[in-house]
Amino acid sequence: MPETSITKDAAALGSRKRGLARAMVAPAVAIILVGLAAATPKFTADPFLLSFVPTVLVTLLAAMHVWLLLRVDLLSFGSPPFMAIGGYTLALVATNYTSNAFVLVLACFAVPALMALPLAVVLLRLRGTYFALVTFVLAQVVMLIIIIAEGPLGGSSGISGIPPATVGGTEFGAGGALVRFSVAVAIVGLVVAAAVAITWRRHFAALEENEPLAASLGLNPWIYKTLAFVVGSGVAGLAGLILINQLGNAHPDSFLPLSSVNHLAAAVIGGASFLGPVIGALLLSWLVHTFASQAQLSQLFLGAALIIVTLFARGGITGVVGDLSRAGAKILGRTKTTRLDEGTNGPKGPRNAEKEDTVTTARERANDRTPLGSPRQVVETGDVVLAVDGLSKSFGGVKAVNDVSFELRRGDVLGVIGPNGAGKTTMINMIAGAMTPTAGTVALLGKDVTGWSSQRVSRQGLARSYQQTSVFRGATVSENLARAKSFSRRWATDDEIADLLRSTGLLARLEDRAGDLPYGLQKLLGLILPLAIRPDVLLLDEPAAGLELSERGRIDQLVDWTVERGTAVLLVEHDMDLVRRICPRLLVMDTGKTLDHGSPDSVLNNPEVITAYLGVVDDDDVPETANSSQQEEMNHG
Amino acid sequence: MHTSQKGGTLLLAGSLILTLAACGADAESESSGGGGGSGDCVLTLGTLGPLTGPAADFGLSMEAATKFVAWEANQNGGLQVGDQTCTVEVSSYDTGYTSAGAATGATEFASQGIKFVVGPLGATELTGMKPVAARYDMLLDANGFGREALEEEYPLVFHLGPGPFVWSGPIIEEAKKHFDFETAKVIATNDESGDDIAIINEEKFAEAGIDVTRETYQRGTQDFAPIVARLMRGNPDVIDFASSPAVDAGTMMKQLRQAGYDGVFARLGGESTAEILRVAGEENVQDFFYYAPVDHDAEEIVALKPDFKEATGMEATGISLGWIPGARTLLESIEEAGTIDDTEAVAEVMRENDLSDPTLGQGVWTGEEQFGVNQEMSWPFFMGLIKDGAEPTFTELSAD
Amino acid sequence: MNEIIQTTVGGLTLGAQYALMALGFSLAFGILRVINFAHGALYVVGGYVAYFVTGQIGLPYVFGVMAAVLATAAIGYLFELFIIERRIDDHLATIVLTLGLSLIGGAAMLGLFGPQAVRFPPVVSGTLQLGGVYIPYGRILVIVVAAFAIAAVYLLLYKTQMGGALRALTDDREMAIAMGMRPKVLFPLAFAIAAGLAGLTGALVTPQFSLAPFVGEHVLMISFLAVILGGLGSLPGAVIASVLVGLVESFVGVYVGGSWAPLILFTGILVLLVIRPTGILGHRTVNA
Repeated sequence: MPETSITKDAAALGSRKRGLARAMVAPAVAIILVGLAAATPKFTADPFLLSFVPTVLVTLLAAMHVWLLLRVDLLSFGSPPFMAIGGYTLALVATNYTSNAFVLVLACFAVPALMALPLAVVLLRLRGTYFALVTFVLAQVVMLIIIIAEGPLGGSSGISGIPPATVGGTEFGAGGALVRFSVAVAIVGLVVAAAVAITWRRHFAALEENEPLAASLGLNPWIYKTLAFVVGSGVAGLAGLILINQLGNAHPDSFLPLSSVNHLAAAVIGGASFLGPVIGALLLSWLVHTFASQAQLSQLFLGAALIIVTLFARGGITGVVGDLSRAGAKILGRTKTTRLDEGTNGPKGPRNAEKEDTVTTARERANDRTPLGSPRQVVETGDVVLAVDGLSKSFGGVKAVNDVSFELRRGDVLGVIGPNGAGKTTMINMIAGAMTPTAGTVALLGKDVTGWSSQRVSRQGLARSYQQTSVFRGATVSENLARAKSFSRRWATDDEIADLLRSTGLLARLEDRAGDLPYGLQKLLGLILPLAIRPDVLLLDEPAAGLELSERGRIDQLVDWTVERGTAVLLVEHDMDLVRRICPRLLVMDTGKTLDHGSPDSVLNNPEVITAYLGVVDDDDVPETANSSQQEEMNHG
Repeated sequence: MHTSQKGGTLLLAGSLILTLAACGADAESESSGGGGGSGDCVLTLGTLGPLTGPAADFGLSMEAATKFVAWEANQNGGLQVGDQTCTVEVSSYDTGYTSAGAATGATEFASQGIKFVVGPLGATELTGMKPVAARYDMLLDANGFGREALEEEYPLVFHLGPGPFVWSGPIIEEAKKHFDFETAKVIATNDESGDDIAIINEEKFAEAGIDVTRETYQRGTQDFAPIVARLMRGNPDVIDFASSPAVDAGTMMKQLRQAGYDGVFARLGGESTAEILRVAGEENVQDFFYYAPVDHDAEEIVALKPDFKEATGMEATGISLGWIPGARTLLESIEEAGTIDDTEAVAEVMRENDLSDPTLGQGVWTGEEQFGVNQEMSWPFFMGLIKDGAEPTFTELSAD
Repeated sequence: MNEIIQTTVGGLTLGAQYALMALGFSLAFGILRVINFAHGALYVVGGYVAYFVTGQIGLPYVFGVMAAVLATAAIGYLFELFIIERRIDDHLATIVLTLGLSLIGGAAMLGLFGPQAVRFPPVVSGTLQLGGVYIPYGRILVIVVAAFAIAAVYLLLYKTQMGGALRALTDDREMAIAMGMRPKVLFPLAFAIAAGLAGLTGALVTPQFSLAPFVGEHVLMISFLAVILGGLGSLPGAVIASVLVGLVESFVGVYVGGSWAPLILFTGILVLLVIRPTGILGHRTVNA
């Protein structure tokens, strides 16, 4: 083998460092840009410009709130209420206790963040659409509470005469001092946001792109959504601090619920890069100021921009710039180096040879192990790892799964077959935690996991694959693996991963975007991910669907690989040859019920089974067309 | 490695820039009073208020009043400031009726070198603008009646017209002569602009021996049926709409009559009688008394109106007419002080002004009792009266 | 006692109006799974179209209402067909798209008609007095139309073929497509109906209250409340919730006053979301 472990490790380490450095560029640039703004008072004393800088910074932090939540696939209209909490915290603390700048910054971050925590418990249980609506309502509620509370919060008159923030003898209420203080607070907000966004970038990216897949690999969405919400609320609180420090008075009118739309527009139009809110805030502030006397024009522009960006430029302005620069770099011939190129004779040679190598190896392996067509022996291999008892699922009056029971032991490979609509996928969904059973129990390694969420079940030792391809399509192959590794409890060794990749031909395509791979390779990657988390039980949902006949041998290898390591495998399939090759036991389902259970020979000769399949016993299942199924991906769960 | 080099460079660049930002002195401001040197001199008056949105009537009226006095001064050959003749111009800003809007407007004006402002409008705006204006030594001829609108700490803030504290009481007393009432309800929006006036009205009713309660409603309410039902409980003799938006007041009036209310209506708040009548429908008004800054039938007013139209392109409203004397006084004081830059000097002169106005007559300084600062200019005001649905009549009242 | 009856009647009247307001919004979500942030803007556009046709052109009110419905339905149809449909599966994207529409719609009305409220007098005036209880005739008209609209939508969804197709597409899009239904034809139609309902409400209700570019916000809030309370995706839920909201507003408004009514409503919603996230009659959703 040309690859040594050392080279691989070093290369892997290099890629992680490169990934981290790459992730830090945008935040660094953002922070520097904001820092530059602190120099404004050196160049001008124009009162308007000096007050414009803090105004832009307020919008920036508010947009950052929205941005953080967009990264976990949530749309938040909550910037005004948390700004209000921050602003009123400043008012109360500065008026009654101290105007020390450090205390204020700490308080105006912590109070909104702490208040966001119990809200997160309530709100994040809801689906994304509810979340958006409720944050919209929240903005109104906070306003009402402030007004009705009267006394301590100043009621409808607000709190005026708030002393400016101070450090030592310096007051940060006006002129250059105000600008510097505002910049400092903004930098604090950006640093915190960046720290979170970078540290958990893989988790956020996985959540945003494909939450169900991430959950099935062990990621707990709730933790990261809460993190984003709490930190985002603190950041919005800092925006409130800058605003109220500048105004000197806290008033409900300064936190109008509809301003959330502006902040959202800034975040969306700016784009997914950390620089997005910066660009968006600059654009928005300029727009609002320029068209102050003709509000309808800026409103029109914003509305149109939102639509255009959503339809044609998903990544926003920063995304477009990023795409252009990538295209430009390609034109200039500076392509990304792959690790294999370092130190070897150039890209083309070894890679092609390696591809051929892997193909031949695969065939050899397939031929070596067990000849096609002869069934594997049934071996009593060990403890029961999965016990399903009386599992049922009803949708309204229809029983999709009706009282299914079976056991899996370590090393088992159980094939589940049956005509379409028999309830096989529903059954897998229930065991894997994507659906709640209507009746029955599921026990994993002796523990009752009935009704557990998919990430909980995954962490308990179960993994699954999906009928359609399920990978993180926007990320490279190596990034897909890196993500899964970062949130799963167990992970295979680097050597094992390399083996899996090599045998499927993916080792040569580590730096390719998963979405750009041919369907077959995507499917295989989608099988490797759950394998790599070293589950005790693996559920495979039609792994061969979409693969060329010549590629289907790889399924055998992958199943062998994991069975060798003690996994029990449940395999839903239509490809009878594959099933006969690798499944010593079969379970037949039809209209939700178990029809038969036993060795392939006995089951497949059962006249009832044949009747159920009448007219559809054919080895050449036509794979689903890539287009439609790829669109549906995980939305059906 | 390549990446750590890149990182290092960024870090270095960043620290350099930040150090640059921190060092050195801030630039000094060089603001002018709106003109310099001999010969041509231009005095730019700032005016700001809500020029769009629900309170736009008020904002536009204030802008129009400012434009009129500027026009008037220019018609009379400009202002004689020291040995220069200055033309007067007006620069407007739309605050959206918010505190932040007024503060931004103040910085805008400061950038333009404007030192004298007719405005802002509303308690919230005044609160937001005061600190910023003070920083740039701006003189405000304002109309906002929050609890601390005029303060000793802000000697450059004046009121260009009287607040409810001044006119509410006398109007109530006058109204008692025409209507028999013992109980009253005051209704206004549940926010600052509602509270500030409604609370004072409530006090004044009580002082006049009337049994009064105060109700509030959420701004933006569209359906007043519950509010109307609530107002009718106890069948008060008078329902005062205080500073409720005209459309709301008119709607409530209409629905109250529809519900069978036959008491007296009052509007002790910003005058918007025409709008209220339009929305309510004239047949629903019946008995109504209200604060009117001017008597629309008076000779001087009638004579002024065509000029106003010419100068501003807008019809003169009661509010805008009521603000003219206050704006005129400002210009007078600038002229007398002989400076378009030194706001302190102008303020000193202004405090000594005898408040004698060609259109509205003799005014008085008020404000001591309510705010502790006597910087509120109060000209005679009127009670408008509609009885049994007849044409309105006006009775002149005065602060003393 | 009389007061209680009046308050109840007021609450039901208000509830009927809210039900009409919320109907289109609920339909858009129920069928297309789209949170239509432009709902309030479409209400306002409906009002202005009716105002223009009736007030400026001088045609009878009925034509104004019809024009309003057609205009908003057309906007809805075209917007769904060319814009929303491209991102129909992405829930966040559809929210942002409708938000964009709402900004554009608001800007257009602001630019064409100015920021202040316009005079749009009600065609029907006068009050019905029924033994101490009074209801303005204009309100009765709204109630009657609301009842008709709700009935019509129900009939459409449950008694017609198109309605059946729409419901099938909502439940299982793939299956429905496999069975020959064409979402590209049906979805724009459904959104057109939802938008047309918003426009109808605007044309009917704004003369009762007021017509200005910003009055749509309140309508949007009410629709949110009704739909969250009643359960996203449930039309009967939205209707029942609207009536409840109207009753609460009426009783709290009369007996407590001030701004308590909205606060109570909003807090109630938050509490409800904790206890029963699917609302009163919502559908239980899959964990995904």
